[in-house]
Amino acid sequence: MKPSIALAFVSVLLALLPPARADELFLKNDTVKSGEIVSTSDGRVSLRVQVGAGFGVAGYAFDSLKKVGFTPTPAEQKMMSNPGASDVAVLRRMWELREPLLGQVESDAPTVATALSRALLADTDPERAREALALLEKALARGSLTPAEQSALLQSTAAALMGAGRVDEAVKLLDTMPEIDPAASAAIIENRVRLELIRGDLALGKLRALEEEWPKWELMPEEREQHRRLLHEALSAFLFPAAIHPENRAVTADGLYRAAQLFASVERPEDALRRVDEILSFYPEPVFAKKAAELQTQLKSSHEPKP
Amino acid sequence: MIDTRFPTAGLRVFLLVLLLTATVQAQSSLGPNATFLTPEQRLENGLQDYRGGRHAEADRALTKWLTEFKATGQPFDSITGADKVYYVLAMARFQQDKWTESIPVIQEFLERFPRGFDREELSYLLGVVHFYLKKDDEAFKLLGDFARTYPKSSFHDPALLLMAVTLLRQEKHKENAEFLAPLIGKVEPGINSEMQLLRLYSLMQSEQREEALRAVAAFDSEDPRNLRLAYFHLLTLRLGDDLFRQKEWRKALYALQRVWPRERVVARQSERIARLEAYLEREKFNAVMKTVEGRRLRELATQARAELVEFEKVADYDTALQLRIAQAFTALELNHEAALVYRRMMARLPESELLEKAALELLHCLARMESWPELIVESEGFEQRFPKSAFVPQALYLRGEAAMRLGLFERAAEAFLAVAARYPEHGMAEQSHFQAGYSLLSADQNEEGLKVLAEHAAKFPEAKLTEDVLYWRGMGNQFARDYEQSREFFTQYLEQYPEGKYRADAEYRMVFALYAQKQFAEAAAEAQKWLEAHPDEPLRDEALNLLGDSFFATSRIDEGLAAYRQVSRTTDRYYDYAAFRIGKALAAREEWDALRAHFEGFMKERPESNRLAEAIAELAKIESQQGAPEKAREIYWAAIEKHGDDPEAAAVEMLFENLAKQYRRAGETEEFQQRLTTLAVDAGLKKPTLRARALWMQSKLMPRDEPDAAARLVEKYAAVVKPTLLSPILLADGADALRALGDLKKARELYRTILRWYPRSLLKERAYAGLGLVAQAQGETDEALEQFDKFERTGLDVTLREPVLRARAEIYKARGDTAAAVAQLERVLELPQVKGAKAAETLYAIGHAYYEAGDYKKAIAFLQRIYILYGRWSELVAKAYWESGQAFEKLGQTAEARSTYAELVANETLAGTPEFKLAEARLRELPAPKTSDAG
Repeated sequence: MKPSIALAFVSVLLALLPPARADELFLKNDTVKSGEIVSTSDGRVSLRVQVGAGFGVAGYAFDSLKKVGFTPTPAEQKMMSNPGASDVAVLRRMWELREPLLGQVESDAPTVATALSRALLADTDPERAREALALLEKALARGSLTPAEQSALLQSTAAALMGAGRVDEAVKLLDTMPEIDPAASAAIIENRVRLELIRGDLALGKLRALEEEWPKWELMPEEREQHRRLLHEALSAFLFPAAIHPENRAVTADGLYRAAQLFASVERPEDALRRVDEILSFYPEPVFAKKAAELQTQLKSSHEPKP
Repeated sequence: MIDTRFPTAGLRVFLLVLLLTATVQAQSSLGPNATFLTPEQRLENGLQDYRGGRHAEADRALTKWLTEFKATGQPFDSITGADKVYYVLAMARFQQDKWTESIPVIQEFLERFPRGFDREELSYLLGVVHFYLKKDDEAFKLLGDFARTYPKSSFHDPALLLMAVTLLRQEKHKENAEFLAPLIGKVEPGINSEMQLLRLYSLMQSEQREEALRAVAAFDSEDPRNLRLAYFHLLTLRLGDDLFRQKEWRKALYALQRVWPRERVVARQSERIARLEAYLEREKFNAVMKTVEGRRLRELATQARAELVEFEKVADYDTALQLRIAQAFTALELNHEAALVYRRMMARLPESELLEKAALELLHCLARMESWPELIVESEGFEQRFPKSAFVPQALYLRGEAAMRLGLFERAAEAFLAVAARYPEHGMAEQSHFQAGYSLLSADQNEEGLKVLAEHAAKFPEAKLTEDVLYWRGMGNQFARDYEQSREFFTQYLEQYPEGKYRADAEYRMVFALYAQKQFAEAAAEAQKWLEAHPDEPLRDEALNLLGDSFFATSRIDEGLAAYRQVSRTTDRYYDYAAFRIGKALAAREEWDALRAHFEGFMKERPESNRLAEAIAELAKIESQQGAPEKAREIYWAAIEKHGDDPEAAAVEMLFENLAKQYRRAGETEEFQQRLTTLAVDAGLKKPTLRARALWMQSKLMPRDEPDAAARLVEKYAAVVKPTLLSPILLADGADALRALGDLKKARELYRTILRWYPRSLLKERAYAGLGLVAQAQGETDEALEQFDKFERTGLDVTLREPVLRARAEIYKARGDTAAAVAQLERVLELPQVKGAKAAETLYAIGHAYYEAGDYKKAIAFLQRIYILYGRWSELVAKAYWESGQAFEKLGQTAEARSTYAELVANETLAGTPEFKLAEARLRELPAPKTSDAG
C-alpha cells in the first residue's frame, strides 16, 4: 500500500468513526467549532467534525484561534487525576496534541504534562524520569501558568529530579517552592520530608561504603572527617521531619527510627534512646512504635551496668 | 445556618391586611406631608423604611403607630400580623444598637404573643441584647433558656457561643472550659471553630495546659471554615512559651511545632476573610443579613481582619517561634534537631536582634555536637552577617575553641587574638588573650606565644589568669629550650602560688630543665625530692626515667637501675624505655646472664611491644658476644617461627634483616638463602604470611643489578597471597614489584591494602605515591594528581618525591600546562638526590617543555645551563646545543643559532651524537654570516 493511499484510508476511517471527544475551537471571528482534535502539527489544528451523516476533518491555522478547548473523555479524566505507568501511551498522545498549543490561553497542557510526568515516574526507570523532566521543563517554560498549575509542575519536577538521582536539586527546588494552597503545601511538605529520608539513605550508603572501603577509617584523618560529615548529613536528613515538619507523623517516626538506628550503630546509645523515646511518646505510628520498643529494649539491655 | 425565615412571609400577610383595611392611599414617609399621615400610612411607611434599611425612620414610625394603636384600646388580636410590628420595631432598634430600648419591645412581644411567629428569634434577640449590654449573668440565663427551649433553632449554636463569651468576659475560665467541652464537635462548624478558640483561651487562662495542648491538637488550621487563624496561632505560640517558661520542654515543643509561620497564617486568613467578605457583599440584600446572624458574621469578618492587622504587626513572630523551638530541642538534648532549626532560621529569616541571638545559639549548639568544622564556618558567617553584634566576641572565641579542637592552632590564635585586640573590655578578652598565647605555643610558635603571654599583665591589669599565664610562660620557655628562663618562671610561679594547681607539674618541669641543662647531679637530687613529695602524680614514671638517666649520666648505675625498675606498666612507652635502659646498663657491665633474664622477662611481659625485635636482637647479641653465633641465629629463627605468620607483628621484617647480618661470612649467604627457601616451603599454604616474609627476605638478598629477579620473587607472594595477610612492608614492596612488572591492578590492590589496614603506617606515603603512579600509568590523571596531593600532604620521603614530581610534570605537560609542568620539574631540581645526570636531564626536560610550548627564550636559558654546567653528559649536552640552536632560529637569531651549532661541532666529545651531524648540516644550510656581523 502506497503512503498516500494509506493516509487516505486512515482519513476515511477517522471520518467514519464518531467523534470520541467534544473538543472546541474558539475562532478569532467569534465562532466556535466543535469536534475532535486529531492533530496539532505544522501550525494547524485538525478537527474531526460531523458532516451530514458522516465525518470530515477540517483544518484551522493556529493564528486563527482565540482559544482551544480540549474536552477529555471520562477515561482520560481518570488518567489525569490518577495516572499510572500503564497510562503513559494515552497521556503521551494527549501531550503531543497539546504541546504545540502550550502558549494558548486556558490550555490544559500543564495538567496533562503533570499527569504524564506522574505516569512516567510510576516506573523507576531513570530514562523515564529524564523524559518527565524534559516535558516538565517545556510546560514550565510556558508563560501564564496559574499558581496551582505551577505548583503541580514544580512538584512533579522535584519528583522527576529525584527519580533521575538528582536528589540535592530536588531538595533545593522544594525548599524554594511557595506554599500556594493548602493541598499543594501539604504535598510539598510531604515530598520535602520524604526527600530528606532519601537523602539520608544516600549519605548512609556512602558512610557504609566508606567503612567498608576503609576499615580503619578512625585512624585516617581525611576519612575520619568524611565519616563524621556523612554521619552528620545522614542524621540531619533523618531528623529533618521531626525538627522541621512533624506534621506527617509516619514519615517523622520513620526518620526518628532511622536516626536512632544510626546513633546506635555508632555507639551513641543515649542519643539513640532519646529518639526512640520521641517515637514512643509522640509518634507511636504502628510499625515504628513496635520497632522503637524493640530497639529500646536492645539498647537498654546492652548498655545497662554489669553487676 | 442562614435563616431564610426573615419576616418577609409574615409581613406579607400583615401587609395584605393593611391593604384590605386601608382607607387612605399610602404616602412615602419621605414625602412632603409626612407629619400628617394616617396610622395606616405610618405603619406602612415604617415597614418600608425598615425594609429599606432606614432603621431610625422605621423606629419612629412604628413606635408612633404602636402608641396610637394602644391608645385606641383595640385588642392586639383584632388585627392580623400585629406581632410583626413588634418584631420589626425590635429589629430596627437592634440594628441601631439601641439595646436598652429594644428590651421592652421584645418583652412586650413575648408577653402579648405567646404563639407569635417570631417568638423564637426574639427570644434569642432578648439574650443577644443583654449580651451587648454586657449584662452577662442575664444574657447567660436568657440565652441558656433559649437554647433549651429551641434546641433545633438555627440560633441555638450561636446562643451557646454567646453564653461562652459571657463566661469568658467574667473571667470564669474554668467554667467556660467545662461549659464548652461537651459542645465542641457537636455544633455547626463556624461556631465550633469559635468555641475551640474560646475554650483554648480559657484553658490557658485557667492554667490547664495539658488540656490546652489537646485543644491545640484538635484544631484544624487547614479547615477553610476556621477563620481566626492568627488568633489561634498566637494563642498556641503563647501556650508554647508558657510551657517553655515552666520548663515543660517537650510539651512546649508539641505546641510550638503546631504554630504556622507568619506567611502561611496571613495567606490563609486573608483568603478566608476575603471569601467571607465576598459572601457578605453578595448577600447584602438578602434578608438574612438583617438578622442577628448577619450581624454576627459581619462582626466576625471585621474582627478577623483586625486580628490579622494586629498579627502582622507582631515583631519577629517567625524568629521568636523558631528560636523557642530550637531552644526546646536544645533543652531536650536533641541537638541535631536544634541545629536544623537554627540553620533554617539563618537561611530564611531577616536580620534582627533575635536572629543574632539564634545565630550565637547555633554556634553553641554546634559546639555541643562537636561539629568543629561547621562551627568555624558558621562563626565566620556570623561575623559577616552581624559585624556590629555584641555577640561577635563570643563567636570569635567559639571559633578559636573549634580550631583548637581540630588542631588548627594558628587559626585558633588568630581568633583569640581578635577578641582580645578588638574587644579589650569584653568579659572574654582576658581568657581569649591567654588562649591565644597557649594556641601559639601549641602551634610551636614559641616566640610569638611567649610574647603574647608576656603582654598579658600589661593588657589586663585586673587579670584573673595570672597563675595560668605564669605557668605557661615557664612551659613556653621549656618548649623553646630556654631552660634557664623556664626555671625562673617556674620559681616565680611556686613563690606566688605555693599551693597552685600546677605546683607538682611546675616542680617537675624545673627538674627537667636541670636535666636538659646537663646538670645531672642536681637533676637527680631534685628528682628524688620530687618523687618523695609526689608519690601519686601521673608524671611519676617519666620522673623515674629522668632520675635513672640522671644517675646513669653521673655513673651511679645501681641507683639508676633502681629508679628504672620502679617504672610502672601504666605507660608502655616509659616502661619499655626503662627496660632498654636497664638492658644497656647490664650489657655495659657484661652481666650476660642477668641481661638474658632481663630481656627474656621483657619478651614475656611485653610480647606486643613494638620494640620486641630490639629485645630479640639484644638476646642474640648476648650469644654473639659469648662466641655462640649459632645460638644467636637460632634466637632469631625461633622468634621468626613464633611471630612470622602474624601480619600485624610489625617487627618481623626487622628480625629477618637482623638475622641476615648474622650470615655475612663467605658462603653463609647461600646457607641463609637455603634456609629461607626451606622456611618458605615448610610454611606453604598453612602459614602464608610467614612464607611471604621468607620470599620477601630472599628478594632482599638479590643483587641490586637484578631488580627483575627480585621483583619476580616478590611477585610469588604478592600476586597470590590475600593482601590482608601481608604486613605493610611486604605490601609496599609487593606493590612496587607488581607495578614494575606491569600488574597495575594487583599493585593498586596492595597499595590500597596498606591504607585500608595500616593507615598509621609510615608506608602510607608509599601507598599514595604508588597509587598515583598506577593511576597515571592507567591514564587516570585526575586520580593520579589526587593521590600525589595526598602523598605530598603526608610524605616526607624525598626519594619517593622525585618520581611523584616527575609524574606530575608529565601529566601537566600532556595537558598543555607548561608552567605547572615546569614548576614540578623545578621542585625536582631542589631535591638533594638530584645531581649530575639527573639534574641535567631535568634541566633538559624543562628546556624542552618550554621549547614545545613556543617559549624559546626560556627554553634557551635552561638548555644553556646544561652545556655550561653538565658537560660530562655528552648526549644531553648535544641535545641541549641542538635544541638551543633550533630555538635561536625560531627567534630569528640566525647568528646565535650558527654560533650554537658551531660550538656543538667544535666539541669533539660530541662527535658521535646524532645532533653533531644535524648541526653540521644546518651550518651548511644557514646563510654565511656577513663580515660586519662577524666583526
